[in-house]
Amino acid sequence: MMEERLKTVLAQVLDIPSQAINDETAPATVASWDSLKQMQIMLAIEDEFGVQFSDEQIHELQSFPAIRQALSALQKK
Amino acid sequence: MMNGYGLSFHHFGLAVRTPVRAVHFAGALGYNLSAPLLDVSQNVNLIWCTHPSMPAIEIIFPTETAGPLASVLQKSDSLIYHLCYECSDIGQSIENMIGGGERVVQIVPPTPAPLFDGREVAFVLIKGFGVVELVRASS
Repeated sequence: MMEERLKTVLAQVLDIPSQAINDETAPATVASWDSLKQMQIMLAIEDEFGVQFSDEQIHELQSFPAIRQALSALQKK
Repeated sequence: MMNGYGLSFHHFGLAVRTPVRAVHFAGALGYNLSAPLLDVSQNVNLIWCTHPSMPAIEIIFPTETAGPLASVLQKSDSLIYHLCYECSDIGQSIENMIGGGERVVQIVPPTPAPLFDGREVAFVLIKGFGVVELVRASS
C-alpha cells in the first residue's frame, strides 16, 4: 500500500506513469528527474506521508528503492 | 524596506529556452539589457535587465549542456523560474525563514555570482512558494 502511494507521488512529480516506476527508477533512468525535481519529490512525499526528511536525505535519496527504504524507516519511528 | 526575514525584493528570474523573443520584449518595454553572461557555476546563460521604473529581470537560458533549467523548461518555453531577494546575511535569513515556520531546502549554497560582482547568491526551495534566490547586499 505504501509502495503504491509512493509510486503515485513520484509519478505525479515526474509526470510519468506510476506503472513505469520500479527499482531501477532514478535520475539516470528518468530524464525529467533533475535536482529541482529531486526536492519536489521529497517535499511531496513529506506531504503525502506526514513525515519530514533531513536536508541530507532530501538531496541524497536519489532512487525509488532508496526513498522507499528511508520512508519505511521514518514510518517505524 | 526589509521585513521579518530580512529580505527585500531584488529581481524576477525569467527562464527561457532561447532569449531572442524575451530580449525583444524587454527592449520594447525600455529595459537596459546586459550582454549575455555565462555563469559557469550554475551552468546557465544570463542577461541582466534593468529599468528606471520597473522591477529588474534576469533572463536565464540554457547552455549547450544539460543544466538546472531542463525540467523547468520541459513543458513551457518560458516562465518565471525564481524570485530573488536581497539580504545582508544569507545564512541568517534562511534561519529566520525556518524559525518563521517555512520549510526551506537549500538548492545551491552561497556562491559568488559573476552577475553581481562576485557577491554571494544562494538558491533555496520554499515549500508552497517556489524557488527563491538570495543575494547578499552590497557592503
